[in-house]
Amino acid sequence: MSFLSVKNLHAAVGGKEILKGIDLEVGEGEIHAIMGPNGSGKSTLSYVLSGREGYDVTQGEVLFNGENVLDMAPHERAAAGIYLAFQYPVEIPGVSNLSFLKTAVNAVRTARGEPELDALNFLKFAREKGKILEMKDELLKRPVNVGFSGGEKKRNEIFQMAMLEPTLAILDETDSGLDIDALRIVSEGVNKLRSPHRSMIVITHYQRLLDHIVPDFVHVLADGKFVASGGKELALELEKDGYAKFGIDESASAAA
Amino acid sequence: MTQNDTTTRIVESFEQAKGGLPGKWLAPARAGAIDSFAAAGFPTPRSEAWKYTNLNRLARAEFDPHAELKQPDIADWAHLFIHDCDRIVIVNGRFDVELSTIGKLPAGVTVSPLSEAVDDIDQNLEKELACIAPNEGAPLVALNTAFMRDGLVLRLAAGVILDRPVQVVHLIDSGDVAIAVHPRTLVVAGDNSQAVIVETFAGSAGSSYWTNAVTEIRVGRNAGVSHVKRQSESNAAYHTALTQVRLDRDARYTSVALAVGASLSRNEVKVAFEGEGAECSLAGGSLLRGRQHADSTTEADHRVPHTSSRQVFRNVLDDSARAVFQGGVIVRQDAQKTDSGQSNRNLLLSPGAQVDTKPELQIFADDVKCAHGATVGDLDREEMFYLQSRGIPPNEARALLIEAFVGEILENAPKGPVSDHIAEAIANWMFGDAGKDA
Repeated sequence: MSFLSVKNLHAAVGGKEILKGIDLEVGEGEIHAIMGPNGSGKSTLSYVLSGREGYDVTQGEVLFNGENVLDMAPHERAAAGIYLAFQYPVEIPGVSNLSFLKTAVNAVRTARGEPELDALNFLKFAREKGKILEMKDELLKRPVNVGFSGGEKKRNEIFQMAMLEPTLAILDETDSGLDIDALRIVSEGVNKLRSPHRSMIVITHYQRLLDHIVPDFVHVLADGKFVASGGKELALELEKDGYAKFGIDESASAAA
Repeated sequence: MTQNDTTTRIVESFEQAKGGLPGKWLAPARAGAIDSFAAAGFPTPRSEAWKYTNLNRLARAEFDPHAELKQPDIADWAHLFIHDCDRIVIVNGRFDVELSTIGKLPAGVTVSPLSEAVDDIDQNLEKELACIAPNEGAPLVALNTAFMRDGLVLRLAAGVILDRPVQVVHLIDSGDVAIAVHPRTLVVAGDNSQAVIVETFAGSAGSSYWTNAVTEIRVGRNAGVSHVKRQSESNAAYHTALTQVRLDRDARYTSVALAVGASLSRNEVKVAFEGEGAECSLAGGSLLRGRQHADSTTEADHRVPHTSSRQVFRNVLDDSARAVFQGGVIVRQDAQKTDSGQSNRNLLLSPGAQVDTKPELQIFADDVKCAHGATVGDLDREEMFYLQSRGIPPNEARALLIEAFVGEILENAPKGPVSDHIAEAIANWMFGDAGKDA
């Protein structure tokens, strides 16, 4: 049985249909890459899976571990093990990264029937996970994402993922806007979090990321539908020949 | 009953009460003050300073001047007492010796209840009490001067650093009887002295009363006073208060005043800069729900060169609550190099909530910096989704964001038990039911 099963998913934003019938089966521990031009619906898919308001599912179903995801509130999806690394992480002035994470970790632990971490054990846990992403202590104390560089924000996303220990991670353009050093830290962090019990959906615009995070499957998304699916070699073809081979006019899609 | 009738009745009740008020030497001042109140009556929205806060309901309310009240059960109030401080407790307007604790104080420090201090000739209050805050143009101050009975007197000799906070707690449990109390606090900090003072106002739920408080603070040369006020009055109460501060050369005054209680409240803070190099930082605001109304009005009066004032006010409003911020700054002609800044931000959690925010800058000098800004908004949806996507349930996410929003004003309270005292009021508002029925 698939771990995540998406069937004929249609979704609209403000009455406009963006996803037009997505089918996706992700097995336990698998990494699926989703590539596609701007405006093809990549981010919409990530928001629909994580339950953002304003994204209306008009048809289809999403099952996660056999449960209907679409009936769950965003925090319930997080507790169930779904994690979204945001393309544009949100700044929250006045809330320190650490107190935010402590609230989040303990909310998730409580929901999963695990005991809450006290201040000392939480700090130990945060320092340990912070090492994976080379997070300086100072970044932990600062308000969430406020004054962070683009690279620091993306590292913070993966750091939170390490803390919340999801079983399905959706990385939405985690590589966009990163220089090669930042990309290395982020992708090494992601690779350290790979496990036979953790599946990932890696959404990207650039094949470059997939040199670092090697996927099991690649899907090409265009105009709200998958137009091709295959192994990791599909990403290389895309890089070489562009989206035109799949009948996608990139300039037209971008304008949509 | 009309407002005029009420004013007349208050004047009559003064004639009956005056014999029993403490401090015989204050009699002429009290008589002058009641005349001044009688002439002016209650402030009305016709005056610009009271445009957004209408006391009509208060001015028509009846308060029983002869109420016989029983001693309230204090178990409910214990959490309001700050640990390890010198504390004066005023219950239903009168000093309560049992609940008050005054430890060993350094030489040159006096902490006493007003009712005792005014009859102590050594205290020499004539030059300070009812002199720092004038009655002119302030009918409610005049009314307080006429009726004031109890409160706190804190005096620091030059050079004394008080390391424990001094707290004055005003508790009211008047049962079914409506009463009016007029507490007065006087703080005189000598040159180079330093103190932290906390004022706490609370009443039992449902008690209907009026607190009309006046606080006078004089800060000597190079002295520092930190002033924290928590207004957690009963949800059926009225609370009007004025703090008048006078700053000598290089004096510092830092304050935070938070309102979570009362059905209608007004907290006015006026700072007069009387010596160069003085600075003040005023913070405050309110967390309100139901039909509560809270007014924060300030006046930083820069009279001499090289002084600075900061004002940071935050309001969080749910249901049909209403907040007012009137941020006054006066820069007089001689007050060159004044540096003043003001920020008022408001969080409206419900479409029925309302805020009136008005910076009032009167600038007569030309070489000055005066910044001001105000915002009104609701909770940021992106921030809410981000927090929820990390597993934080909506009510906790909301609390985190509200806490962050008002957090800035907490920076004006000394870290530890004093800032915890304000943080507790915020937490109670978010997770408890403070103000729910107001």
